[in-house]
Amino acid sequence: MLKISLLTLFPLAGLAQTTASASWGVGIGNGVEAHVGYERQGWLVMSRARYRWWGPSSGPGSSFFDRLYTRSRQVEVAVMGGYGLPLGHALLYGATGLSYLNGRQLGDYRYAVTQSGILSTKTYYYSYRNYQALGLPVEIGVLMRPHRSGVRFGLAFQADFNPEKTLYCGMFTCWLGKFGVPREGKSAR
Amino acid sequence: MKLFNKPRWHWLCLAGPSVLLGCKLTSNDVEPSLPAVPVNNSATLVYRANNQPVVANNSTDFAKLIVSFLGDLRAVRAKWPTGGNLELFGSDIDNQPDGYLTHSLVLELVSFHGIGTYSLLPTSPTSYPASYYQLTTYSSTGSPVDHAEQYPVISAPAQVVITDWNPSTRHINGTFALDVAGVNNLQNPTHLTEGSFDLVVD
Repeated sequence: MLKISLLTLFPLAGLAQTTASASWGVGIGNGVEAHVGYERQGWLVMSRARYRWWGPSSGPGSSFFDRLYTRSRQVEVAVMGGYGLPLGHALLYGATGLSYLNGRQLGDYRYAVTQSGILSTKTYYYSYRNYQALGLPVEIGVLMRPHRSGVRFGLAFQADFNPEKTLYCGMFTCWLGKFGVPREGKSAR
Repeated sequence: MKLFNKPRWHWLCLAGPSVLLGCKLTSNDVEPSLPAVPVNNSATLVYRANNQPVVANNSTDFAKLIVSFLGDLRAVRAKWPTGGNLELFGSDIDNQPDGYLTHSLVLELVSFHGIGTYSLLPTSPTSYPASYYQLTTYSSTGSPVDHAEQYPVISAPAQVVITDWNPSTRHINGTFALDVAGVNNLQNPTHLTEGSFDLVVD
């Protein structure tokens, strides 16, 4: 009964290739990531390791050229399950799962030290919080038509909901492998 | 891959993360430590005022070089007429961003004679203490709006320890700790702790 209802919701599961395929790659946007994926019958298992860093949004040190003793940062390792839907030669997918987060969040400004030069510069020091947490990662993305070289480019929109620091990321992704590539005579079309 | 065909996997995928959402594992707040003196090989004075770090160090640039002809604008400096009192001055006005609270501190070492311990307290209740601590606040336009001066509290230790002094180069470094209070905080003095400095005396 469950299988019938899932097939109604996700027709690709019954029509897509029966051969499993794995892929891997990298992404860059307002962060950097490495990812791997595994697909079977439209169902996806994905994992990503993402690093993102940022400075204070306002106040001392918020300028791109300012020096900071340390920056806010977050490392996320996520394992997700999801589903991919072919749209022509592209693949639209969504996934969610569980993530482990290790990060640092800047707090209040404390002091600055100055350095001599033609134009003197400052390094700003902030208090900060170190944390580890579990979160809910969400990813919605699209993979474009595979290039002849086998590389597949795409866009991914990511979020990680957690009690410490919820982040949203947009990534240009690059995948290698046969992830989501329709097989001849077995695709959903 | 059998895993995909088991219905419980789907439930785990959808329900598991929701249950775990909001789970903190560890969290700790970190305060930056005071920098070791000297900072960037410049004249430096650092301390904590009620546990908040205050850092003052000198730096030079083209603009400061030009205006230096108008007067002594160094943020950290010390003067000692031989045989007299040594006066040490430190302000973080060059360090703090525009509009932020600035801290100035003057420590007067009576009858300075090199390495040793010096009391910052007045010698009699009627003598005006030369050592003081000053907080300056600024308006949104950057103009100073208040100079709250505070003086060493007699009931608490207030001393400077000179740990190194070279009479030929006049290089000095040392530590200090004192409580200060003004008209606005007579019952709640400001604790100046972990003080240290490193500079060349004029």
